[in-house]
Amino acid sequence: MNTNNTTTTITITYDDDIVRKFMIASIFWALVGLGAGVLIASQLNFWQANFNMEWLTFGRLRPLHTNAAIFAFVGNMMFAGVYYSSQRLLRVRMASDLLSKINFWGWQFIIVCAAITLPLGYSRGKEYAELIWPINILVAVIWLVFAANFFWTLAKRNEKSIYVGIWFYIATIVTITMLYVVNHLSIPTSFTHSYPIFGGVQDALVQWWYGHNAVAFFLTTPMLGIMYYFVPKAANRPVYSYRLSIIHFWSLVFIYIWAGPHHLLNTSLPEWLQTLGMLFSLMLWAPSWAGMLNGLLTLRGAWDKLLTDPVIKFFAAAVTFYGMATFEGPLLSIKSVNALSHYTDWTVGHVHSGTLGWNGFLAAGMFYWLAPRLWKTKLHSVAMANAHFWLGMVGILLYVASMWVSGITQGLMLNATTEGGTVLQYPNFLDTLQAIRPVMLFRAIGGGLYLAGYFMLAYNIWKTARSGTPVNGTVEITVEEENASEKRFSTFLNAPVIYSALIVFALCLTIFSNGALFIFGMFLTITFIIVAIAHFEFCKASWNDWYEKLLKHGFGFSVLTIIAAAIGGAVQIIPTVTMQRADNIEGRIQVPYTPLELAGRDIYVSEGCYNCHSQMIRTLVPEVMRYGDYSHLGEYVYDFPYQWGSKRTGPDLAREGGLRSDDWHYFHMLDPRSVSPGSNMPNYPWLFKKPIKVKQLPNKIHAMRMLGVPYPIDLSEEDIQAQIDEQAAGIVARLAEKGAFTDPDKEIVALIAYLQKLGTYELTSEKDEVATK
Amino acid sequence: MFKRIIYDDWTTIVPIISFWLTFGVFLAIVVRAMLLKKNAVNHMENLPLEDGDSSTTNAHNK
Repeated sequence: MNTNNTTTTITITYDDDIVRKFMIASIFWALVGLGAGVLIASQLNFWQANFNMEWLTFGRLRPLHTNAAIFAFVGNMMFAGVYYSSQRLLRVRMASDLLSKINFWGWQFIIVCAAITLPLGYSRGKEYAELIWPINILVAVIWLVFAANFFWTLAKRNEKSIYVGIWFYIATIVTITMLYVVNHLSIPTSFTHSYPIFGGVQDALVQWWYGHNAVAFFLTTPMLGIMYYFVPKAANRPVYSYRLSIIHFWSLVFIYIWAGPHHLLNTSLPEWLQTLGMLFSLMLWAPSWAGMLNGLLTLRGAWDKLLTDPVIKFFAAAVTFYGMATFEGPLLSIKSVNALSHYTDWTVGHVHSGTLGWNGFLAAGMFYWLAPRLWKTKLHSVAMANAHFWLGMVGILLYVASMWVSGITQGLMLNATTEGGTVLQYPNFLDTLQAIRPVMLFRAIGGGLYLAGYFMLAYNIWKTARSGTPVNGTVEITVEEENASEKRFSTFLNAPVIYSALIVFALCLTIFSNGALFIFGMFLTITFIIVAIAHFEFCKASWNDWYEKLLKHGFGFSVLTIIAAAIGGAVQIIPTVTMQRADNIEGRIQVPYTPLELAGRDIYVSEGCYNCHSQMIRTLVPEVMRYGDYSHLGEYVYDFPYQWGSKRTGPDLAREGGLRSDDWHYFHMLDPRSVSPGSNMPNYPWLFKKPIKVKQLPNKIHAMRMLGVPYPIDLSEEDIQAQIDEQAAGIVARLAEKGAFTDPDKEIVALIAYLQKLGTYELTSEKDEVATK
Repeated sequence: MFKRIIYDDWTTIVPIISFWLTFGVFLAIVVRAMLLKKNAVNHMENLPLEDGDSSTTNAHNK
């Protein structure tokens, strides 16, 4: 920076009003999200809790619960923490109060839209990415508003150095933007419906690249930034090792993005991707524990406060849960462990030890620390905060322990064989469900206790706010006045920043293009790297200088972070997209859905059936014995979105077609217990009343054709209607023979058509042309 | 029956390359962190404690 500067003292008043707003919103949505969680946990035990109402079924409320917990509760908490700590670490008020307000009200509007559309069944059918496309655009816009405000503040800062907490915020902003945009690329068919541009294995890979990294860059990196600011503040001690925090940051950002495929182990995902996912998940142990140890050791010397100070209690427990969850995650990513744990409650328990223990407790600690400062008063009741801690702790332990027992029990039962391994010991899936019913009840109780703790927090914070007055923090600082134009240009016009930007541009060109542009992008990437190295050597620069230049400029640092985070995604996604194009379908190709089956599939997605049923038979002997031949890549090429699922509360449906009669499905959807005694599935009486949305089908088929599904180009609306009428008439006739009556235009007919199609494929070899299973 | 078909052999090398790439990044960052000057470390690690916020209190220890 300029050395011929004058100094001046200025008073800064921070915008803490926005922090208060986000904090209150977070607490409110925590109660909603956790409440929804307790309700759906109860539904798993008592099917009557679905109330026979379409907008209150497990399949529709589970996305509401996850979205509310992630984006509403933790999202608002993250904004509160980022706005509070960034202003203080950068020694400047947020650049624009207007952008802050747009960020706040826009985000709340998005949450309200989600809370309305999800129970109504408007869903994209991808976990944590269920919101429909108009809301996706709104999310992107509001996120960019936040990003603009943040980077503008960064540019205006009065502190030259960028603290590691701010690094984590930058990583969050740039990476979430990349992940969210790619995973939400869709072709709209109406204002409330769209199909993702990726299908089958591509969609699965992109989804879990996003889904896993939503955990990484929405539920972890901003929380780590918050940890690196608030834990030293609470302990009144500097971070244990700043050097360790640097290693923690870069290795975490670089490694995390690669680990997504561990959600798809033993599936038909190509083997090399599975290996990559497992390998990088195991490597995550190191950076995760570096962060955990750094956080815990920061509290050294403050352990005496653990007895009296609820803030320290919550922080210590949160960081400990971070350590435990990040130990368990890699463990579950080992293929042999995953063979047991995947599709069971073990994964659910793992996720909740992270969200309730790490995110929820960190949020509580931060709120208890912030409230007295934001309202310039004392916390209403320390005793109540302590009681909240213990109630929450018992709740989490009860929840997580019961999910471990449930997951391991069900996993072992599903894989158990007898007669020398030739016969399944528990061939009836419902036997395994009945075995875990009692522990599932404990899960609901544990969640209820945790929710009760958050009600105590809400009351405590409300009473605290009522007893004080809202204040905005102020600080006097001495700053150097620089030549404005010099400062502006120096931000962008320096070698490492320019080279980094050019390399990112070339990488983007490579990732998002094909053919000649793809090769050109590769050429540019290699060229820029070589030129950068040559420049570096020629001017005898030092790595330290270039690195410092990047660190001192938010823009350059962000570019560096994008590079670190993009490499993993590029390595995994580009070959997968290319491979499927090259007829990599393992000898089988899916038979496209008829218009009626497509309508049925959209009902399946809308009802959220994927929340309890998978459509993926893994390459494991017990699975093949239970469900049939393992799933091949080519059997999913026309699935937009893919529906492999992540949890089996009910059995896999990949080869459901033809397995049972039409009337079995009819009665099962009307009252599951009439044909499956002991089932916890909701009744779906509205499927027998609501008409099929036929008018939307031409648009949907047109979109499918754009995505490469071989529907005839000259398929008219009349043709579509005729095909629907013919297929529906056949189903209705078969149902009538068994005493099951319905009109051919009802949703149940389309859903039966879809379920009977599942698992239908053609062999690609010339010898076997006919579709069989 | 359970033999997985690998269509693109070159991709099997990707995990190995990726591992060494990551190891290289990790090593570079470790070296960089170790070479950081003591006064720079002191300045950075004390940033959260130096915000001098006049509105702060120790109010929660009721």
